[in-house]
Amino acid sequence: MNPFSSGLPGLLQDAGLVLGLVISLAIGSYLIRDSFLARLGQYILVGAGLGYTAVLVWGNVFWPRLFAPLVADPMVWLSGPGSALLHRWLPLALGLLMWGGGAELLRRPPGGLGARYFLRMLAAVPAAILIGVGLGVGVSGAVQGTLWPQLTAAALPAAGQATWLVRLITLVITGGVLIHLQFGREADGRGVGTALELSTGAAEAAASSQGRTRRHRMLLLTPLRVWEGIGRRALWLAAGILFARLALARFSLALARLDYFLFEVPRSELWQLIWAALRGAGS
Amino acid sequence: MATSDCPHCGYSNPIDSGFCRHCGTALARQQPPEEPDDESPPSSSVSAEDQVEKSPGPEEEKQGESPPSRTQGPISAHAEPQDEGEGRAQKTEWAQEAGEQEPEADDEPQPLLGGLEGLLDLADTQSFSTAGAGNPDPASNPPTLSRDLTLDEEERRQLRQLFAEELPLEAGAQPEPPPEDQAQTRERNRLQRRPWLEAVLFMGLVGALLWGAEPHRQGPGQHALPGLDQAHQQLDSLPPNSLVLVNWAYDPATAGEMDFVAQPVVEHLLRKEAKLIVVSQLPGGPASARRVIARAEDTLRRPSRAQFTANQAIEGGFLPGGAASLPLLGAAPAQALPVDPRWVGLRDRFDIALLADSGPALSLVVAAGAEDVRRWLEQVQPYNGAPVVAVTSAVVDPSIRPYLDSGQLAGLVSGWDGGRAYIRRSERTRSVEEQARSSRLVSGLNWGIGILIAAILLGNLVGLTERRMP
Repeated sequence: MNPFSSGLPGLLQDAGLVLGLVISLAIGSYLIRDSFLARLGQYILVGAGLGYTAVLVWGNVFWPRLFAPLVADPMVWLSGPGSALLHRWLPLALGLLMWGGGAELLRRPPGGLGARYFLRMLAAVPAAILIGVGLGVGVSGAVQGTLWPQLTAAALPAAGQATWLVRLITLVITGGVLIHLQFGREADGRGVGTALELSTGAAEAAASSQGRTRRHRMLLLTPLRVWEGIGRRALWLAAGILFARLALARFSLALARLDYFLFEVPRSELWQLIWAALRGAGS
Repeated sequence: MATSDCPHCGYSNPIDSGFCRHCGTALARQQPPEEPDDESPPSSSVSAEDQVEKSPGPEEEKQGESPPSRTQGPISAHAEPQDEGEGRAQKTEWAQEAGEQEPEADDEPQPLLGGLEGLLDLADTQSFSTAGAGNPDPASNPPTLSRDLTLDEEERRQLRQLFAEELPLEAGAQPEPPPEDQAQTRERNRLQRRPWLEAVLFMGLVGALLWGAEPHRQGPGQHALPGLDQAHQQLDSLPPNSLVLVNWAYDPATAGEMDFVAQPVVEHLLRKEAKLIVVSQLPGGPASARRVIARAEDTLRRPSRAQFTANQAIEGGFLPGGAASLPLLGAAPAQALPVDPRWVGLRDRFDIALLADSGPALSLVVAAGAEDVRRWLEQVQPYNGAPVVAVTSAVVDPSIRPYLDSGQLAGLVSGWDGGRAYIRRSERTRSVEEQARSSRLVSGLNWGIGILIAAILLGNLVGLTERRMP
């Protein structure tokens, strides 16, 4: 049966709505103060989420992709290609090492060299593979999917894209932000004595020794500071834009939840039954 | 309550404190200013720091000659009979008794911490370490204070400050912050939280939902939503039975916003009779996809809708592994897709195999975070080469706009305004209920943003006003 072909039965959907309302209110009570109900709602949420994830991983990954083929044909490399050994037994071995190492880390560190120490050493192998593969994929992906295409698009803009003015503004802002981040007031954490002032001060001293202080300041330092100021303001402007979009997204979430409380839940049949029962009990 | 200011940090301590409770400076030789004593020496007005710098008095000379007592400081502070009331008298008696026992201090093991009412008298840890060294039996060689003390007053102060953070309290006793701290805390809380402001914001949102359902004549112009037209054209140009690989990268946590954006796009795909292969890297992703697709199918099954063929979606399932698992999905999707055999029939398997041969006609990334779109563009698109349309949260929009400008993204629909504009662009007639909900939500959002701006302005104004007040 295709899971998309039909939803849950009506009563279960309504039960989900009411349960969602109860848990939302329980967690929402944290706004008033931290209470047992708020904690209970959070624990239910976390527990249900973890349990659901465990079942999902078992149903989607472990069983269909690892255990079921191994159970069906444990000597897979005899009947199939040799790479089947790598696809089936090696992941299981690495996973077992990882689990064993994780369980071992929950205990006290071993006193000396022994089986436990050896297990810890072996558990580093799958961890290293995970980190290495993740970093390798990430870096190569960033180069092929972001860095190179963005550089190409910036250097060789296609027709209909940014005009020369926009490109110039982009260049000015990018350079200004880079200067600010490298030499700006907060770059070295010294606050008052800025890196820019220090670096420019050193440059100024070197220039004055050559007798060209005034011209040097006019031609180099002042434009550099102005450029850095542009970069700093552009950075704040970008942060403001991001915050505005973030506020928009979070308001959307809050409104959807309010809409759910005010319109969706009261329309459900189960809620109307509960409400009628409550009114009947009250009268 | 009579207090005595610390000469080092200015903290107001109880008058009977031997040491500053804040920084640990010795207050022992200070005279309380509000109790003038004619017999007190003229040097009593001199600060403790100054006294430390002076030549050692009789007490210090005694310290130099014999091992110092750890109760010496407080005792000297309270031995002077200046107190009032019964409690103080008891303390003084206690202090005098302790003073009498002072010479015996060298011969008996002493507690690590001692003092009066939690006042901390410094325990010289060095002495314990030197005394215990070489003789493991403390009974035969009780720990005594080291005779060659090297700690100067500053080090003592720092140690007292360190220990004072963990002053032992009586069972059930709560440390009571001084009045100044309470006032500061109140002020800080008052500046951080504005209940009335939160209440106004909340009521504004509820009010906008309840009474703000008038349909809007015009939405945002096309210039405000770049990428939306391209997205619509991409989907509209799909031939029937095109394979569309969908990355469902949001879960119920952000469904409140994302459902509203994703549903019109999914409806459009279903109307074009595209074959969706849905995969997710979030545990809650498949369930969210199921719900939205079922809702879209329900909407399209209504009478007067276009002809619609059911079961056009294949659940690819949950794909763990983050970015590391995506290149395989781009290069060999049939191997990477974690399809559940219970749900994927023979025909669907054929479609997945076809996906491996010819690649998808389109990739749709439905994401609440920019990272998911970026990962797809970095790890999948270079391998399968399919055009990518992103359907995202409002917050993602600025981060992925450069990909739209560079042509890596073929279209972009973001935020509620994007979803609503997409519905208008699709020229799909909607039910009265749908229209009311949409208007309600968008109107509430506009009101909410307006109220937020007003709240920021008001909050700043109030903050500035209060700062000017004494």
